[in-house]
Amino acid sequence: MTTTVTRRADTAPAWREVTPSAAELSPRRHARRRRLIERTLAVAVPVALIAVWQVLADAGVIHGNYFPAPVAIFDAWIDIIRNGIFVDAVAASLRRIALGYLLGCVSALVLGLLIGSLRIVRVALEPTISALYTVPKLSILPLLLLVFGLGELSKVLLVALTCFFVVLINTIDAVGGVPARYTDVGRSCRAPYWAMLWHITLPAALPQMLTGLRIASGLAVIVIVGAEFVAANTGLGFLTWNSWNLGVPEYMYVGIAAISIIGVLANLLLRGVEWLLTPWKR
Amino acid sequence: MTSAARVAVERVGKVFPGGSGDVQALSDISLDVADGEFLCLLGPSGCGKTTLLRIMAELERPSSGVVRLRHDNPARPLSAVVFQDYSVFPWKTIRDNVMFPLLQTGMRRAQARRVADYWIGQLDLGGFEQAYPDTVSGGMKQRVAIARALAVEPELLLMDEPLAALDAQLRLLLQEKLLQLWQANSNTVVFVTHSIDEALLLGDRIAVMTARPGRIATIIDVPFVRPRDPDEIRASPDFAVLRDEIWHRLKRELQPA
Repeated sequence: MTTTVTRRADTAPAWREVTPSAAELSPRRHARRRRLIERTLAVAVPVALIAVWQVLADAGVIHGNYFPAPVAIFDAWIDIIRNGIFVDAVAASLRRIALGYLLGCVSALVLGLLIGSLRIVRVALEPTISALYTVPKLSILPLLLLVFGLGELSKVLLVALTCFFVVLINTIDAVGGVPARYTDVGRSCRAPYWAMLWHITLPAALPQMLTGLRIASGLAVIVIVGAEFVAANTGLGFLTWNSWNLGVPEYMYVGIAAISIIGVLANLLLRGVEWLLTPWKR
Repeated sequence: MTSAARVAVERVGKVFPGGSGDVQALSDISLDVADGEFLCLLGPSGCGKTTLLRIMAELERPSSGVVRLRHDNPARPLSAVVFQDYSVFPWKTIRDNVMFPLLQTGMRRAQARRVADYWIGQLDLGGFEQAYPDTVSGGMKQRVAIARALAVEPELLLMDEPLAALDAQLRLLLQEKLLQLWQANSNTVVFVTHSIDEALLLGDRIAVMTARPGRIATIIDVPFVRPRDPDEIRASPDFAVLRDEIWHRLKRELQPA
Protein backbone atom coordinates (compact mmCIF):
# COMPACT_ATOMS: atom_id res chain seq x y z
CA MET A 1 0.00 0.00 0.00
CA THR A 2 1.43 3.33 -1.05
CA THR A 3 1.29 6.26 1.31
CA THR A 4 -0.28 9.04 -0.72
CA VAL A 5 -2.64 10.10 2.00
CA THR A 6 -2.53 13.86 2.42
CA ARG A 7 -3.17 15.12 5.87
CA ARG A 8 -5.19 18.23 6.26
CA ALA A 9 -2.68 20.02 8.47
CA ASP A 10 0.00 19.68 5.82
CA THR A 11 -1.86 21.32 2.94
CA ALA A 12 -1.31 25.00 2.28
CA PRO A 13 -4.41 27.24 2.78
CA ALA A 14 -6.41 27.69 -0.38
CA TRP A 15 -6.64 31.24 -1.66
CA ARG A 16 -9.57 32.39 -3.71
CA GLU A 17 -8.67 35.28 -5.97
CA VAL A 18 -11.21 37.96 -6.87
CA THR A 19 -9.91 39.62 -9.99
CA PRO A 20 -11.29 41.78 -12.81
CA SER A 21 -13.03 39.73 -15.49
CA ALA A 22 -13.34 40.58 -19.17
CA ALA A 23 -16.23 42.92 -18.33
CA GLU A 24 -14.01 45.03 -16.06
CA LEU A 25 -10.90 44.95 -18.23
CA SER A 26 -12.55 46.34 -21.34
CA PRO A 27 -15.97 47.60 -20.19
CA ARG A 28 -16.74 49.47 -23.40
CA ARG A 29 -16.07 46.51 -25.68
CA HIS A 30 -17.91 44.22 -23.31
CA ALA A 31 -20.98 46.46 -23.25
CA ARG A 32 -20.96 46.70 -27.04
CA ARG A 33 -20.75 42.95 -27.41
CA ARG A 34 -23.53 42.44 -24.94
CA ARG A 35 -25.78 44.91 -26.77
CA LEU A 36 -25.07 43.15 -30.03
CA ILE A 37 -25.97 39.76 -28.54
CA GLU A 38 -29.19 41.14 -27.04
CA ARG A 39 -30.25 42.77 -30.30
CA THR A 40 -29.42 39.67 -32.30
CA LEU A 41 -31.52 37.57 -29.93
CA ALA A 42 -34.45 39.98 -30.18
CA VAL A 43 -34.49 39.52 -33.95
CA ALA A 44 -33.36 35.89 -34.11
CA VAL A 45 -36.16 34.48 -31.94
CA PRO A 46 -39.09 35.63 -34.12
CA VAL A 47 -37.14 34.75 -37.29
CA ALA A 48 -36.51 31.27 -35.90
CA LEU A 49 -40.18 30.82 -35.01
CA ILE A 50 -41.20 31.79 -38.54
CA ALA A 51 -38.59 29.41 -39.95
CA VAL A 52 -39.96 26.54 -37.86
CA TRP A 53 -43.45 27.39 -39.09
CA GLN A 54 -42.17 27.30 -42.69
CA VAL A 55 -40.47 23.95 -42.20
CA LEU A 56 -43.58 22.44 -40.59
CA ALA A 57 -45.76 23.76 -43.42
CA ASP A 58 -43.40 22.39 -46.07
CA ALA A 59 -43.37 19.02 -44.34
CA GLY A 60 -47.17 19.02 -44.41
CA VAL A 61 -47.41 18.80 -40.63
CA ILE A 62 -49.69 21.83 -40.41
CA HIS A 63 -52.64 22.42 -42.67
CA GLY A 64 -52.08 25.12 -45.31
CA ASN A 65 -55.78 26.04 -45.43
CA TYR A 66 -55.65 27.21 -41.83
CA PHE A 67 -52.00 28.06 -41.38
CA PRO A 68 -50.51 28.98 -44.73
CA ALA A 69 -46.73 28.90 -44.94
CA PRO A 70 -44.87 32.17 -44.26
CA VAL A 71 -43.61 32.23 -47.83
CA ALA A 72 -47.18 32.00 -49.14
CA ILE A 73 -48.25 34.82 -46.84
CA PHE A 74 -45.33 36.90 -48.01
CA ASP A 75 -46.25 36.29 -51.67
CA ALA A 76 -49.83 37.30 -50.95
CA TRP A 77 -48.54 40.42 -49.22
CA ILE A 78 -46.49 41.38 -52.29
CA ASP A 79 -49.54 40.76 -54.49
CA ILE A 80 -51.85 43.08 -52.58
CA ILE A 81 -49.16 45.70 -52.29
CA ARG A 82 -48.79 45.58 -56.09
CA ASN A 83 -52.51 45.89 -56.79
CA GLY A 84 -52.93 48.68 -54.25
CA ILE A 85 -55.37 46.90 -51.92
CA PHE A 86 -52.90 46.82 -49.07
CA VAL A 87 -51.90 50.48 -49.25
CA ASP A 88 -55.56 51.54 -49.37
CA ALA A 89 -56.38 49.38 -46.37
CA VAL A 90 -53.46 50.74 -44.33
CA ALA A 91 -54.30 54.32 -45.31
CA ALA A 92 -57.96 53.90 -44.34
CA SER A 93 -57.15 52.38 -40.94
CA LEU A 94 -54.36 54.84 -40.17
CA ARG A 95 -56.55 57.79 -41.04
CA ARG A 96 -59.29 56.65 -38.66
CA ILE A 97 -56.80 55.88 -35.91
CA ALA A 98 -54.91 59.18 -36.27
CA LEU A 99 -57.99 61.39 -36.43
CA GLY A 100 -59.78 59.62 -33.59
CA TYR A 101 -56.65 59.46 -31.47
CA LEU A 102 -55.87 63.16 -31.84
CA LEU A 103 -59.46 64.19 -31.22
CA GLY A 104 -59.84 61.97 -28.15
CA CYS A 105 -56.43 62.62 -26.60
CA VAL A 106 -56.25 66.38 -27.04
CA SER A 107 -59.69 66.94 -25.56
CA ALA A 108 -58.95 64.50 -22.71
CA LEU A 109 -55.63 66.17 -21.86
CA VAL A 110 -57.13 69.65 -21.70
CA LEU A 111 -60.22 68.56 -19.75
CA GLY A 112 -58.18 66.26 -17.50
CA LEU A 113 -55.83 69.08 -16.48
CA LEU A 114 -58.75 71.36 -15.63
CA ILE A 115 -60.84 68.71 -13.87
CA GLY A 116 -57.87 67.34 -11.95
CA SER A 117 -56.66 70.70 -10.72
CA LEU A 118 -60.05 72.05 -9.62
CA ARG A 119 -61.17 70.03 -6.64
CA ILE A 120 -64.85 70.86 -6.80
CA VAL A 121 -65.11 69.97 -10.51
CA ARG A 122 -63.21 66.78 -9.86
CA VAL A 123 -65.51 65.67 -7.09
CA ALA A 124 -68.55 66.49 -9.21
CA LEU A 125 -67.43 64.59 -12.32
CA GLU A 126 -65.26 61.69 -11.18
CA PRO A 127 -68.01 59.11 -10.45
CA THR A 128 -69.66 59.79 -13.81
CA ILE A 129 -66.36 59.52 -15.65
CA SER A 130 -65.52 56.24 -13.89
CA ALA A 131 -68.91 54.82 -14.84
CA LEU A 132 -68.54 55.83 -18.49
CA TYR A 133 -64.97 54.56 -18.59
CA THR A 134 -66.04 51.00 -17.79
CA VAL A 135 -68.47 50.82 -20.73
CA PRO A 136 -66.74 48.77 -23.47
CA LYS A 137 -66.52 51.32 -26.25
CA LEU A 138 -67.04 48.75 -28.99
CA SER A 139 -70.46 48.08 -27.52
CA ILE A 140 -71.61 51.58 -28.41
CA LEU A 141 -70.61 51.20 -32.07
CA PRO A 142 -74.21 50.35 -33.04
CA LEU A 143 -75.36 53.54 -31.34
CA LEU A 144 -72.74 55.57 -33.18
CA LEU A 145 -73.76 53.95 -36.47
CA LEU A 146 -77.38 54.76 -35.71
CA VAL A 147 -76.65 58.41 -34.99
CA PHE A 148 -73.82 59.17 -37.42
CA GLY A 149 -74.42 56.60 -40.16
CA LEU A 150 -72.02 54.19 -41.80
CA GLY A 151 -69.51 56.88 -42.81
CA GLU A 152 -66.07 57.67 -41.45
CA LEU A 153 -67.35 59.86 -38.62
CA SER A 154 -68.79 56.99 -36.57
CA LYS A 155 -65.48 55.10 -36.68
CA VAL A 156 -63.36 58.16 -35.90
CA LEU A 157 -65.65 58.94 -32.97
CA LEU A 158 -65.38 55.38 -31.68
CA VAL A 159 -61.58 55.66 -31.60
CA ALA A 160 -61.84 59.13 -30.06
CA LEU A 161 -64.16 57.93 -27.28
CA THR A 162 -61.93 54.95 -26.54
CA CYS A 163 -58.83 57.15 -26.23
CA PHE A 164 -60.68 59.94 -24.45
CA PHE A 165 -61.60 58.02 -21.31
CA VAL A 166 -58.25 56.28 -20.83
CA VAL A 167 -56.33 59.51 -21.22
CA LEU A 168 -58.85 61.49 -19.17
CA ILE A 169 -58.70 59.11 -16.21
CA ASN A 170 -54.92 58.93 -16.30
CA THR A 171 -54.63 62.71 -16.53
CA ILE A 172 -57.04 63.39 -13.67
CA ASP A 173 -55.21 60.83 -11.58
CA ALA A 174 -51.80 62.25 -12.44
CA VAL A 175 -52.86 65.82 -11.72
CA GLY A 176 -54.44 64.81 -8.40
CA GLY A 177 -51.27 62.96 -7.45
CA VAL A 178 -48.87 65.89 -7.83
CA PRO A 179 -46.93 65.86 -4.54
CA ALA A 180 -47.74 68.70 -2.15
CA ARG A 181 -44.04 69.46 -1.77
CA TYR A 182 -44.10 70.84 -5.31
CA THR A 183 -47.40 72.69 -5.16
CA ASP A 184 -46.38 74.21 -1.81
CA VAL A 185 -43.45 75.88 -3.56
CA GLY A 186 -45.83 77.46 -6.05
CA ARG A 187 -48.24 78.54 -3.33
CA SER A 188 -45.46 80.05 -1.23
CA CYS A 189 -44.36 82.07 -4.30
CA ARG A 190 -47.98 83.17 -4.73
CA ALA A 191 -47.95 81.82 -8.28
CA PRO A 192 -51.28 82.31 -10.08
CA TYR A 193 -53.40 79.32 -11.20
CA TRP A 194 -52.10 79.25 -14.79
CA ALA A 195 -48.46 79.47 -13.70
CA MET A 196 -49.02 76.60 -11.26
CA LEU A 197 -50.67 74.57 -14.02
CA TRP A 198 -47.91 75.21 -16.57
CA HIS A 199 -44.80 75.13 -14.35
CA ILE A 200 -45.77 72.57 -11.72
CA THR A 201 -48.90 70.51 -12.36
CA LEU A 202 -48.31 69.75 -16.04
CA PRO A 203 -44.65 68.65 -15.82
CA ALA A 204 -45.23 66.74 -12.57
CA ALA A 205 -48.17 64.88 -14.12
CA LEU A 206 -46.62 64.47 -17.57
CA PRO A 207 -45.03 61.02 -17.14
CA GLN A 208 -48.34 59.41 -16.12
CA MET A 209 -50.23 61.37 -18.77
CA LEU A 210 -47.83 59.98 -21.38
CA THR A 211 -48.45 56.46 -20.10
CA GLY A 212 -52.15 57.08 -20.69
CA LEU A 213 -51.37 58.26 -24.22
CA ARG A 214 -49.39 55.10 -24.90
CA ILE A 215 -52.13 52.80 -23.61
CA ALA A 216 -54.65 54.73 -25.69
CA SER A 217 -52.66 54.15 -28.88
CA GLY A 218 -52.88 50.39 -28.35
CA LEU A 219 -56.59 50.55 -27.64
CA ALA A 220 -57.15 52.72 -30.72
CA VAL A 221 -55.69 49.98 -32.94
CA ILE A 222 -57.74 47.26 -31.22
CA VAL A 223 -61.03 49.12 -31.45
CA ILE A 224 -60.65 50.22 -35.08
CA VAL A 225 -60.07 46.62 -36.16
CA GLY A 226 -63.23 45.60 -34.33
CA ALA A 227 -65.20 48.36 -36.00
CA GLU A 228 -63.82 47.55 -39.44
CA PHE A 229 -64.81 43.89 -39.06
CA VAL A 230 -68.48 44.80 -39.03
CA ALA A 231 -68.96 48.34 -40.27
CA ALA A 232 -66.51 49.13 -43.05
CA ASN A 233 -65.50 48.04 -46.50
CA THR A 234 -61.98 49.43 -46.26
CA GLY A 235 -59.18 49.12 -43.74
CA LEU A 236 -57.03 46.36 -42.29
CA GLY A 237 -59.87 45.05 -40.13
CA PHE A 238 -62.03 44.69 -43.22
CA LEU A 239 -59.18 43.01 -45.13
CA THR A 240 -58.72 40.46 -42.35
CA TRP A 241 -62.43 39.77 -41.95
CA ASN A 242 -63.15 39.63 -45.67
CA SER A 243 -60.34 37.16 -46.39
CA TRP A 244 -62.38 34.62 -44.46
CA ASN A 245 -65.39 35.30 -46.72
CA LEU A 246 -63.18 35.02 -49.78
CA GLY A 247 -61.46 31.88 -48.51
CA VAL A 248 -57.98 33.40 -48.84
CA PRO A 249 -56.38 32.78 -45.43
CA GLU A 250 -53.09 34.40 -46.58
CA TYR A 251 -54.76 37.83 -46.60
CA MET A 252 -55.98 37.26 -43.09
CA TYR A 253 -52.40 36.82 -41.89
CA VAL A 254 -51.24 39.86 -43.83
CA GLY A 255 -53.93 41.89 -42.07
CA ILE A 256 -53.06 40.54 -38.64
CA ALA A 257 -49.34 41.15 -39.16
CA ALA A 258 -49.90 44.68 -40.46
CA ILE A 259 -52.15 45.54 -37.52
CA SER A 260 -49.58 44.40 -35.00
CA ILE A 261 -46.82 46.27 -36.84
CA ILE A 262 -48.91 49.46 -36.62
CA GLY A 263 -49.34 48.87 -32.90
CA VAL A 264 -45.60 48.41 -32.38
CA LEU A 265 -44.75 51.50 -34.45
CA ALA A 266 -47.29 53.63 -32.58
CA ASN A 267 -45.75 52.51 -29.30
CA LEU A 268 -42.24 53.37 -30.55
CA LEU A 269 -43.41 56.74 -31.80
CA LEU A 270 -44.92 57.59 -28.42
CA ARG A 271 -41.77 56.48 -26.63
CA GLY A 272 -39.97 58.99 -28.83
CA VAL A 273 -42.45 61.70 -27.89
CA GLU A 274 -41.92 60.79 -24.24
CA TRP A 275 -38.16 61.10 -24.67
CA LEU A 276 -38.58 64.53 -26.24
CA LEU A 277 -41.04 65.88 -23.68
CA THR A 278 -39.34 64.67 -20.50
CA PRO A 279 -35.67 65.61 -20.95
CA TRP A 280 -35.07 65.37 -17.18
CA LYS A 281 -35.79 61.63 -17.28
CA ARG A 282 -33.15 60.79 -19.85
CA MET B 1 -39.64 92.97 22.08
CA THR B 2 -37.35 95.97 21.94
CA SER B 3 -36.93 96.25 18.17
CA ALA B 4 -39.86 96.28 15.81
CA ALA B 5 -41.47 92.88 15.34
CA ARG B 6 -41.49 91.33 11.89
CA VAL B 7 -43.76 88.48 12.92
CA ALA B 8 -46.16 88.54 15.85
CA VAL B 9 -47.67 85.20 16.82
CA GLU B 10 -50.54 85.67 19.26
CA ARG B 11 -52.15 82.78 21.14
CA VAL B 12 -52.03 80.53 18.10
CA GLY B 13 -53.55 77.06 18.25
CA LYS B 14 -53.83 74.48 15.49
CA VAL B 15 -55.98 71.38 15.47
CA PHE B 16 -55.86 68.81 12.69
CA PRO B 17 -59.12 66.89 12.53
CA GLY B 18 -58.38 63.18 12.10
CA GLY B 19 -60.19 59.88 11.79
CA SER B 20 -59.03 58.65 15.20
CA GLY B 21 -59.68 61.92 16.98
CA ASP B 22 -58.41 65.44 16.55
CA VAL B 23 -54.70 66.17 16.88
CA GLN B 24 -53.75 69.29 18.78
CA ALA B 25 -50.58 70.32 16.93
CA LEU B 26 -50.11 73.75 18.49
CA SER B 27 -51.50 75.17 21.68
CA ASP B 28 -51.47 78.79 22.79
CA ILE B 29 -48.27 79.86 21.06
CA SER B 30 -47.20 83.48 21.47
CA LEU B 31 -43.95 84.61 19.95
CA ASP B 32 -42.43 87.69 18.32
CA VAL B 33 -39.75 87.57 15.68
CA ALA B 34 -37.79 90.82 15.61
CA ASP B 35 -36.79 92.56 12.41
CA GLY B 36 -33.42 91.22 11.21
CA GLU B 37 -33.43 88.45 13.78
CA PHE B 38 -32.40 84.82 13.20
CA LEU B 39 -34.85 82.80 15.28
CA CYS B 40 -34.57 79.03 15.61
CA LEU B 41 -37.57 76.85 16.41
CA LEU B 42 -36.13 73.82 18.17
CA GLY B 43 -38.02 70.79 19.31
CA PRO B 44 -38.52 67.04 19.01
CA SER B 45 -40.18 65.69 15.88
CA GLY B 46 -43.92 66.05 16.00
CA CYS B 47 -43.85 69.15 18.19
CA GLY B 48 -45.56 71.26 15.56
CA LYS B 49 -42.61 73.44 14.63
CA THR B 50 -43.18 72.83 10.94
CA THR B 51 -46.87 73.62 11.37
CA LEU B 52 -45.99 76.95 12.99
CA LEU B 53 -43.63 77.74 10.13
CA ARG B 54 -46.27 76.81 7.55
CA ILE B 55 -48.72 79.18 9.21
CA MET B 56 -46.11 81.96 8.97
CA ALA B 57 -45.70 81.06 5.28
CA GLU B 58 -49.50 81.35 4.83
CA LEU B 59 -49.63 77.72 3.68
CA GLU B 60 -51.90 76.88 6.63
CA ARG B 61 -54.26 78.91 8.79
CA PRO B 62 -54.35 78.76 12.57
CA SER B 63 -57.39 77.17 14.27
CA SER B 64 -57.31 79.95 16.83
CA GLY B 65 -55.31 83.08 17.49
CA VAL B 66 -53.61 85.26 14.89
CA VAL B 67 -50.24 85.61 13.16
CA ARG B 68 -49.33 89.12 12.02
CA LEU B 69 -46.71 89.49 9.31
CA ARG B 70 -45.22 92.91 8.58
CA HIS B 71 -44.64 93.66 4.91
CA ASP B 72 -42.65 96.89 4.43
CA ASN B 73 -41.68 96.94 0.79
CA PRO B 74 -44.26 95.77 -1.72
CA ALA B 75 -41.48 95.46 -4.31
CA ARG B 76 -39.98 92.58 -2.29
CA PRO B 77 -41.91 89.41 -1.52
CA LEU B 78 -43.05 89.09 2.08
CA SER B 79 -41.67 85.61 2.57
CA ALA B 80 -39.93 82.70 0.90
CA VAL B 81 -39.66 79.13 2.14
CA VAL B 82 -36.89 76.54 2.02
CA PHE B 83 -38.69 73.23 2.46
CA GLN B 84 -37.69 70.14 4.37
CA ASP B 85 -37.45 67.51 1.70
CA TYR B 86 -36.27 68.04 -1.81
CA SER B 87 -38.83 70.40 -3.18
CA VAL B 88 -36.62 71.29 -6.13
CA PHE B 89 -38.51 70.69 -9.39
CA PRO B 90 -36.89 67.70 -11.14
CA TRP B 91 -38.27 68.85 -14.50
CA LYS B 92 -36.53 72.23 -14.43
CA THR B 93 -32.82 72.85 -14.79
CA ILE B 94 -31.08 74.35 -11.79
CA ARG B 95 -31.23 77.79 -13.38
CA ASP B 96 -34.94 77.47 -14.18
CA ASN B 97 -35.63 76.31 -10.63
CA VAL B 98 -34.07 79.46 -9.20
CA MET B 99 -35.76 81.62 -11.84
CA PHE B 100 -39.26 80.31 -11.14
CA PRO B 101 -40.08 82.41 -8.05
CA LEU B 102 -38.36 85.45 -9.57
CA LEU B 103 -40.65 85.26 -12.60
CA GLN B 104 -43.66 85.02 -10.28
CA THR B 105 -42.69 88.42 -8.84
CA GLY B 106 -43.10 89.88 -12.34
CA MET B 107 -39.39 90.15 -13.08
CA ARG B 108 -38.37 90.05 -16.76
CA ARG B 109 -36.67 86.87 -17.97
CA ALA B 110 -33.30 88.43 -18.77
CA GLN B 111 -33.02 90.00 -15.34
CA ALA B 112 -34.36 86.91 -13.56
CA ARG B 113 -31.64 84.94 -15.30
CA ARG B 114 -28.93 87.34 -14.09
CA VAL B 115 -30.25 87.25 -10.53
CA ALA B 116 -30.58 83.45 -10.60
CA ASP B 117 -27.02 83.03 -11.88
CA TYR B 118 -25.73 85.34 -9.14
CA TRP B 119 -27.35 83.22 -6.40
CA ILE B 120 -26.31 79.99 -8.07
CA GLY B 121 -22.76 81.33 -7.79
CA GLN B 122 -23.29 82.35 -4.17
CA LEU B 123 -24.19 78.76 -3.29
CA ASP B 124 -21.20 77.39 -5.20
CA LEU B 125 -23.33 75.83 -7.92
CA GLY B 126 -21.66 77.71 -10.79
CA GLY B 127 -21.28 75.51 -13.88
CA PHE B 128 -24.41 73.49 -13.04
CA GLU B 129 -26.95 76.05 -14.33
CA GLN B 130 -28.10 73.75 -17.14
CA ALA B 131 -28.03 70.52 -15.13
CA TYR B 132 -31.22 68.77 -14.03
CA PRO B 133 -31.48 68.32 -10.25
CA ASP B 134 -31.58 64.52 -10.40
CA THR B 135 -28.12 64.51 -11.97
CA VAL B 136 -26.50 66.26 -8.99
CA SER B 137 -25.97 65.25 -5.36
CA GLY B 138 -28.47 65.69 -2.51
CA GLY B 139 -26.37 68.45 -0.99
CA MET B 140 -26.38 70.37 -4.25
CA LYS B 141 -30.13 69.94 -4.62
CA GLN B 142 -30.70 71.44 -1.21
CA ARG B 143 -28.42 74.34 -2.11
CA VAL B 144 -30.65 74.93 -5.14
CA ALA B 145 -33.64 75.09 -2.79
CA ILE B 146 -31.80 77.64 -0.64
CA ALA B 147 -30.73 79.72 -3.67
CA ARG B 148 -34.31 79.68 -4.91
CA ALA B 149 -35.58 81.17 -1.65
CA LEU B 150 -32.75 83.68 -1.21
CA ALA B 151 -32.93 84.95 -4.80
CA VAL B 152 -36.25 86.74 -4.31
CA GLU B 153 -34.74 88.59 -1.31
CA PRO B 154 -37.77 88.11 0.90
CA GLU B 155 -38.35 90.24 3.98
CA LEU B 156 -38.88 87.01 5.90
CA LEU B 157 -36.99 83.81 5.13
CA LEU B 158 -38.62 80.64 6.45
CA MET B 159 -36.50 77.49 6.57
CA ASP B 160 -37.94 74.11 7.51
CA GLU B 161 -35.05 71.81 8.49
CA PRO B 162 -33.24 72.67 5.27
CA LEU B 163 -30.18 70.61 6.20
CA ALA B 164 -31.89 67.62 7.86
CA ALA B 165 -31.49 65.24 4.94
CA LEU B 166 -27.76 65.84 4.53
CA ASP B 167 -24.89 63.84 5.95
CA ALA B 168 -23.01 65.25 8.94
CA GLN B 169 -20.01 66.70 7.10
CA LEU B 170 -22.07 68.32 4.38
CA ARG B 171 -24.32 69.73 7.03
CA LEU B 172 -21.43 71.49 8.77
CA LEU B 173 -20.31 73.01 5.50
CA LEU B 174 -23.77 74.27 4.62
CA GLN B 175 -24.27 75.68 8.11
CA GLU B 176 -21.16 77.76 7.55
CA LYS B 177 -22.46 78.83 4.17
CA LEU B 178 -25.81 79.88 5.62
CA LEU B 179 -24.11 81.80 8.40
CA GLN B 180 -21.94 83.60 5.88
CA LEU B 181 -24.87 84.42 3.58
CA TRP B 182 -27.08 85.59 6.41
CA GLN B 183 -24.35 87.81 7.83
CA ALA B 184 -23.99 89.41 4.41
CA ASN B 185 -27.72 89.86 3.73
CA SER B 186 -29.40 89.91 7.17
CA ASN B 187 -32.96 88.97 6.32
CA THR B 188 -35.24 88.04 9.14
CA VAL B 189 -35.06 84.26 9.42
CA VAL B 190 -37.19 81.65 11.13
CA PHE B 191 -35.29 78.38 11.07
CA VAL B 192 -36.85 75.09 12.13
CA THR B 193 -34.43 72.43 13.34
CA HIS B 194 -34.16 69.51 15.72
CA SER B 195 -30.41 69.95 16.10
CA ILE B 196 -29.31 71.82 19.23
CA ASP B 197 -25.86 72.52 17.76
CA GLU B 198 -27.34 73.98 14.62
CA ALA B 199 -29.70 76.22 16.57
CA LEU B 200 -26.88 77.50 18.79
CA LEU B 201 -24.60 78.10 15.86
CA LEU B 202 -27.09 79.96 13.69
CA GLY B 203 -29.68 81.56 15.96
CA ASP B 204 -29.91 84.85 17.82
CA ARG B 205 -32.64 83.27 19.92
CA ILE B 206 -33.90 79.73 20.24
CA ALA B 207 -37.54 78.99 20.92
CA VAL B 208 -37.57 75.52 22.50
CA MET B 209 -40.84 73.72 21.85
CA THR B 210 -42.54 70.85 23.67
CA ALA B 211 -44.36 68.02 21.97
CA ARG B 212 -48.09 67.25 21.74
CA PRO B 213 -49.49 69.77 21.98
CA GLY B 214 -46.73 72.04 20.71
CA ARG B 215 -46.00 74.82 23.15
CA ILE B 216 -43.08 77.19 23.61
CA ALA B 217 -41.22 75.81 26.64
CA THR B 218 -38.60 78.51 26.84
CA ILE B 219 -36.79 81.09 24.77
CA ILE B 220 -33.02 81.16 24.99
CA ASP B 221 -30.85 84.13 24.00
CA VAL B 222 -27.73 82.95 22.23
CA PRO B 223 -24.83 85.08 23.50
CA PHE B 224 -22.33 84.58 20.70
CA VAL B 225 -21.36 87.78 18.91
CA ARG B 226 -21.49 88.14 15.17
CA PRO B 227 -19.88 87.61 12.80
CA ARG B 228 -19.59 84.08 14.08
CA ASP B 229 -16.93 81.55 13.33
CA PRO B 230 -18.47 78.08 13.55
CA ASP B 231 -15.29 76.32 14.64
CA GLU B 232 -14.58 78.87 17.34
CA ILE B 233 -18.14 78.67 18.67
CA ARG B 234 -18.20 74.89 18.78
CA ALA B 235 -14.97 74.95 20.80
CA SER B 236 -16.13 77.59 23.30
CA PRO B 237 -17.14 76.59 26.88
CA ASP B 238 -20.39 78.62 26.60
CA PHE B 239 -21.44 76.39 23.73
CA ALA B 240 -21.10 73.23 25.81
CA VAL B 241 -22.97 74.76 28.74
CA LEU B 242 -25.86 75.98 26.61
CA ARG B 243 -26.07 72.73 24.73
CA ASP B 244 -26.29 70.82 28.00
CA GLU B 245 -28.95 73.15 29.34
CA ILE B 246 -31.11 72.80 26.26
CA TRP B 247 -30.57 69.07 26.07
CA HIS B 248 -31.76 68.54 29.67
CA ARG B 249 -34.76 70.69 28.98
CA LEU B 250 -35.62 68.63 25.89
CA LYS B 251 -34.94 65.34 27.61
CA ARG B 252 -37.53 66.14 30.27
CA GLU B 253 -40.04 66.76 27.51
CA LEU B 254 -39.22 63.56 25.69
CA GLN B 255 -39.40 61.27 28.69
CA PRO B 256 -42.83 59.89 29.50
CA ALA B 257 -44.22 61.40 32.69
